[in-house]
Amino acid sequence: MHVLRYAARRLLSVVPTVFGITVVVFLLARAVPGDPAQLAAGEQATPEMVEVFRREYRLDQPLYVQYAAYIGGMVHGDFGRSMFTGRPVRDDLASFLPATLELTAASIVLALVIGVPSGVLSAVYRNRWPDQCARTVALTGVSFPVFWLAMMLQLVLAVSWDLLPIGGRFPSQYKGPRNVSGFYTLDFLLVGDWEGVWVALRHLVLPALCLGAGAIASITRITRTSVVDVLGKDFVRTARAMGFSESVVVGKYVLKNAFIGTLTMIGVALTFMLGGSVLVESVFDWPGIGLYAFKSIVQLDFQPISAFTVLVGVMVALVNLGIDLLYGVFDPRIRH
Amino acid sequence: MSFVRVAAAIVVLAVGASLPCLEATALEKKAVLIFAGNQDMPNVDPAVTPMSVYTASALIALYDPLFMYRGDQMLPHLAASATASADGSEWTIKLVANAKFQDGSPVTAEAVKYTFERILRIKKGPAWMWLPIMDEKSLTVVDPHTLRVKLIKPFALFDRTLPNLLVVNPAVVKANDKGDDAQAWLVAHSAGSGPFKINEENWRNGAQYEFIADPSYWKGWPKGGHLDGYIWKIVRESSAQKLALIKGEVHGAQNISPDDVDELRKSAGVRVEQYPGVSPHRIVMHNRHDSKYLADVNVRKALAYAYDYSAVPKIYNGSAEVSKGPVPPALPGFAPGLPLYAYDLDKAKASLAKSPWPNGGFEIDYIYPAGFDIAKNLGAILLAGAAKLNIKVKLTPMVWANVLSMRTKSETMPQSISLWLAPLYGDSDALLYSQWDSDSWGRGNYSFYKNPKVDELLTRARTSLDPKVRADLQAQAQRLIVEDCVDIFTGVEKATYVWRSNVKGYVHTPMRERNPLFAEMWVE
Repeated sequence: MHVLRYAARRLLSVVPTVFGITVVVFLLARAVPGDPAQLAAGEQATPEMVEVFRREYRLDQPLYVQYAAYIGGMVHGDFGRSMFTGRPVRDDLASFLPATLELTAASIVLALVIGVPSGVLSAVYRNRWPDQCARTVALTGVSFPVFWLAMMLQLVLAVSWDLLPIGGRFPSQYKGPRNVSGFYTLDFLLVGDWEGVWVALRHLVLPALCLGAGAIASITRITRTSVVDVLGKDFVRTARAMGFSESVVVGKYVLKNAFIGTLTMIGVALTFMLGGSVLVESVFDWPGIGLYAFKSIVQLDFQPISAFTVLVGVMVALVNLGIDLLYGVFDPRIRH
Repeated sequence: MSFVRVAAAIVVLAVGASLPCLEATALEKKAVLIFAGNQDMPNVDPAVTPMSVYTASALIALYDPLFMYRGDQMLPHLAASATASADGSEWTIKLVANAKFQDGSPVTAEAVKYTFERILRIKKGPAWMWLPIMDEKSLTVVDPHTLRVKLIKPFALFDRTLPNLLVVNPAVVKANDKGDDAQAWLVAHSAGSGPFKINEENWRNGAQYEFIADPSYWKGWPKGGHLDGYIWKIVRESSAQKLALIKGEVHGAQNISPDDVDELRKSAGVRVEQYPGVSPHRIVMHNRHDSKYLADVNVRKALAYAYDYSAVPKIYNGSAEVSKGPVPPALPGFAPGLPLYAYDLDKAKASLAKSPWPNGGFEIDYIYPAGFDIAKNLGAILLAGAAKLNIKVKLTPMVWANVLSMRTKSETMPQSISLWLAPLYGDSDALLYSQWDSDSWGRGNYSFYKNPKVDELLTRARTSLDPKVRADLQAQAQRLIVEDCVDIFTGVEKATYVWRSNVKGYVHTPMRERNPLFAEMWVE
């Protein structure tokens, strides 16, 4: 019950945060130089065409009226329409957000599956060759620019060795999944189409690897540091003295105690991935929310910018809450 | 040891995921061309989306225009003819009798009238072409296949704008009108008579859009072969376009960077096609800027003479030609033999000597789109030339959305900017009137240039139905624009397409240089 009350309190605290975000984004979007109506109307638009956009998007009304309309719409789940495409922002988010979430989930899974064992291995074999290898890979992972890494992976794995597709979520002519969740792998799973799952997974590998490269490196390093720290504790010596095998000591006792740091790093990586996957989405033509937001920012398209910012704000708050709750799972001393 | 097991599992999974899978068996074996376009086409409503952008290729696939640009010609399509009254103020459009919408209903004069009215009512996208010359009283249906258009003011080039009028089926539009002229519905649906339909199952926002051939297309299909459909797949990065072409994941692409084009030339299984472009680049100089420097014709001439034009094609790796004036040669009305500026430092210094700043010693801004290296390098040529005149050029990258707003007013327009502008109908007027007539200040004429003689020549040209007379008037205007050294005409990028070698039937159409006519293409 304590945990539930804590979670509810934290969730409620998201509301003023989101409200604050809406105010800041609304004002910032209108403070930047440039006339969005002129931009949307086009190069050769006559003044009366520009007026049409100004009226349609209430840009001719006082700021407080615009803000009230914006908030009123948002409360009802209406994020307005994009000035440039005429599409409802809600529809755009519904098609782009699942792509980003699926990619983020795959990246974080990859980061955990590679980063945690590498970190443990590195700590257990400290200053020996497995440690040196893991540290070199970790350093390389954080040092490579994502853009360059993406192009190299495409060149080697997709073209030279022809192992994986170059980009996209799916082969162009393949009859895609019926859109239920927007997660292609999940949608294929739901209808039991294993071949579809396989194809969708293959398309996920390269972008997930690129997006997760930094996280793999960070998780490896933080896990190593934490495990090294825990390995020196008294209870580890006691466990060894009691005759537990090394795999039980490390896997069951050390890792659980060392996981708090890793968990924090996962939270940081997740928030970065949710909002900052523009480059990866661009190179791999992954139709995600990062690219959508980037394009909207460049075009001063207010409605999508506001919706994106609020959405990312909410997601970051939820991720932080989730991580906080998980702390208690791994370390009962941190119960809220 | 559990770690070893986990590691082994990872390796097995990684190897497994990398194995070529059976996806090919799931692909439909149809003649579908996959085109790697680097732009999205989020809205296919022909009254909302301008024909100037990449969406035009989708629009002419889904809808038919009254006239169709094909190769260097403008051919009758839904219209059999468009004839003007002696003063160009009244036009009679005769439609072909056999044209049908995709639902089988006939394309009538009433539908053309409805299409015009919808565009004028919505006032978006292509409306700028007709709003200044038409109103709701302009249109009269004479009979089911004849429409009379009475213009507010004479316009001899009205027929040239008709390839941009894509006729909608009024019945379909009205059935989906929820008080917005069906704008919301037509974002991702079509109501036309074109050769292709939307495949809603494979219309994936921001990813790819599939068009399927309409077997009952009223104009019929080429006997030699045609596509069952085509997919506009969004591949944003030039390097990814290149790799997809080499691997054969796509059949064609455009807008590939000059470096990548060079590599593709050496690749097996692909062919590079280049054609003279019609979208010239120029350095727009603000002729009325408060700083006064560029308001002085001698300073502008000095900069134009100091510009090393021979470096322009190198910036594009050879995929561009040096400009031959305000209008590119591929456009009707191009005037050969203009007194253009060539790189000549002596003349540059002599021009500057006639200005109030004979020894230079001032700075001008050059604004270019952030992240666009070609625009930056075209500015760097100016910087290098100007430095020899003791004039400093400050190259400033800027988010282009900001510049688009700044340049609409003389007070906010920077001293100079980098600019490409494509002609939107097939005549020099499309460039000349929008860029150098004082009517177009802030809407193409970003130099804020005004020469009453040029205005008069262009106005007379716009009302002259005789192409020879019109071309002569336009040539005189071009000469004055060059003499006044309004802007620096740098180069014209070639239209570049890269196709897999089994792709046939591409007909390059200058006025649709970024919009392949997929209805005429096929894959062997």
